[in-house]
Amino acid sequence: MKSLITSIIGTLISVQAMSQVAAKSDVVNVILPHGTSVIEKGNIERTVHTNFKRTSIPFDKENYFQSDGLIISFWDDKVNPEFNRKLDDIQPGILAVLKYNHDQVNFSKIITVNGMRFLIYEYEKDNEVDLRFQSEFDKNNRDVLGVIQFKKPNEERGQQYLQQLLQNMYHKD
Amino acid sequence: MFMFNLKPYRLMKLRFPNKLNPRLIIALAVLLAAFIIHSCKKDNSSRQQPEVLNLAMVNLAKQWYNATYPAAKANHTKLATESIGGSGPNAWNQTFVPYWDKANTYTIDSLAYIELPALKRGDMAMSFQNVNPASFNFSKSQSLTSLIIVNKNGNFYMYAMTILADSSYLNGNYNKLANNTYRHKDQNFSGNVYYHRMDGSFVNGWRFQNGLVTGVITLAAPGTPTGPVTQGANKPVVNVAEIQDCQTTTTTTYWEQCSYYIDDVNDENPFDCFDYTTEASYTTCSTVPVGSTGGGSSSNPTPPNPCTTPPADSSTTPVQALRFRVRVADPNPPGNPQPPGGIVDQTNQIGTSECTNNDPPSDTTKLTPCGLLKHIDSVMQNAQVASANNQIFNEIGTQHEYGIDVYFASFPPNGSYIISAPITNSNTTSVTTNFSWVTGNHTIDISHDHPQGDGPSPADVFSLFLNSLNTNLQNAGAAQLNYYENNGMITTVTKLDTYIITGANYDTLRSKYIQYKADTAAFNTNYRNLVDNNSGAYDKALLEIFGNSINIYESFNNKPPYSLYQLVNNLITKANCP
Repeated sequence: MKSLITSIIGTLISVQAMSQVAAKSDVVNVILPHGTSVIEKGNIERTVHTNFKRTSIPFDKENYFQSDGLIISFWDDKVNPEFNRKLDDIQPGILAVLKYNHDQVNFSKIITVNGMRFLIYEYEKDNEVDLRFQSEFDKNNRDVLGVIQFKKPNEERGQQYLQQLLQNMYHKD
Repeated sequence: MFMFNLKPYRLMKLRFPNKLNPRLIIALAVLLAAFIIHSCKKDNSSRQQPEVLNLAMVNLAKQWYNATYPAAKANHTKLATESIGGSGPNAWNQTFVPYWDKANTYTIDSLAYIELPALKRGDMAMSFQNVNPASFNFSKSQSLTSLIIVNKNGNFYMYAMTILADSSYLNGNYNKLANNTYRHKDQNFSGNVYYHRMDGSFVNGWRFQNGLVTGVITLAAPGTPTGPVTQGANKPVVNVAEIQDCQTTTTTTYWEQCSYYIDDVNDENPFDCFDYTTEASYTTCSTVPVGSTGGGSSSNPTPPNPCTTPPADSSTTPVQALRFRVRVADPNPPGNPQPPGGIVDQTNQIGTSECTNNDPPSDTTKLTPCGLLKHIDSVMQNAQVASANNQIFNEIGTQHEYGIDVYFASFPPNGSYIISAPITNSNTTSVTTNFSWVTGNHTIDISHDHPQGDGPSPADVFSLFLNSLNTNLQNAGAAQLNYYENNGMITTVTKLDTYIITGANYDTLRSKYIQYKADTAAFNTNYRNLVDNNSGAYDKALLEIFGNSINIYESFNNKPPYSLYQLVNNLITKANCP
């Protein structure tokens, strides 16, 4: 009986481990929220175009996922040192471009999660929403940034997903 | 006979050696030394400009001065009072009055210079210390201001030269300040020399150490934090040959305003004096070869190119107090005919003969991106162009986009530029300026701000192309059209960067513009996505869209030198231009 219970628990743990979706990043370790599944890189463009009229998701990155109406992507970025700017300096320019592009900006703020600062901002056009995040550049001039795309009715779920994602994201240093 | 004649001679020689030979040798040696020294002095002075006072020039200058600054000319007919000084732009010309009787004249670069001690009505002193002006001791100030009048083509230009000595040089002897003049600095002089126009605007300055120029002083850009900055080092650029050490410090100027009776001819009895201070931040930079840094012995740093025209004015903070003092500099010690550390006034083109001018004004050939960088640095050092960019920078705080057209009067351009008044549409994201290509107004650059910090937009790039379609420009002939296409610029000024974009391939720009017009929203959305997907890198977004059809140059302090940035291995990287 004892060995049966042990076996069941072991099986459950391994199933759980198998369902953990891996994400590639040199900047952060991240555990993706439950219910996340991978979109193969070769399928991302078709998946996005099937579900949305337009997208801001780049198709040349490593991490593509979906979760109940959300499409998620994030990636590492690196800049030369002279371009290592504080998020506080980056934020106004980003918002200016959105305004220039006639996007409806729902919010924009800088938050700190697990000791990491993030600029998060959300804008929408034609009932389709982009929820973006970008971390502060680290001392090696690297950051992690990404976008969650969803339709307006999924807005609350999208924001909750981002909250969970960032709460499970830790800088590697 | 011959032998006989020799004998008395020998006898004579033998009669005196014991008594006279040592004295004779000493006397001859002294005479010889005196001769050599005198010869050297004569030789040296023969290379200097003659020290003869050019009285005619001084009289002309006096006439000009009295006509230009009538308020400063004493009118002693009535018993009344006049207040001298104040915090406004007249503070300098009202505080400092030329001491004509002590004028010294010389010629530099074929221009007549008159150096005069400054008689002070009230007082003024610069200092690295910031103390209560009421307690500031003018008699122990470490600065001394003299006046320099330059005649160029019959026009007079007047400057205040303020020598602010280091404590280590003065060592408590404040009279040593007067040993230093425009052309002469003590061998152990260490300190700063500032040149201001009489409206108080800063012209240029120099850092001296042990009598040698070691750095260039410019007015710090607004918001520059004080402290040391090393530029050039630790950047991911290969073959960095030199670094620039810069230090920004705040200098306090102590002013004393007094009242005088009109019949007080020599301003000997001031009363109702009060003191106040103004502050300005200056950046001192010296260029150091990379091999000489990192401790240990190093060669003397060389000053960077001084041929820049710094921006805005100092802020003014009036503070009440009481005191007064007058001191006179003696500018008479002989000096070098071509002194280092002099006036470099781009506006009036005085002292600029040694400024490097890389500007090929009539060049209609296509320059390489690096070649164009030299041209851009040259143009951006022009006083008018620098003024345009500074005015634009200063408008950022309004959160309105402003634009200034920079143009030259006639083709081929001769290196002189004219700027329009700032224009705004009173919104944050656009401005419409007045590009033109007519005699008297050939627009070669449009400087504008992006007050919210975003970099140049696709519309900025396309304005380069659209302006090339100007009817007058198209009808002006191939040489002028080529000149515009090779040299036309769009300057975007933000709080942190200044970007300059030039067109490199107008055929590609034309095809991109067709795409843009076909679906402007999609074009702009693509730009937005590229900015957002690249951590806010506007330059990268533009280069991904426009490729090699544009060049992007950037400066991180709103003034030259600029750097060419290119996309290398998906990173925006500074090009290693020779």
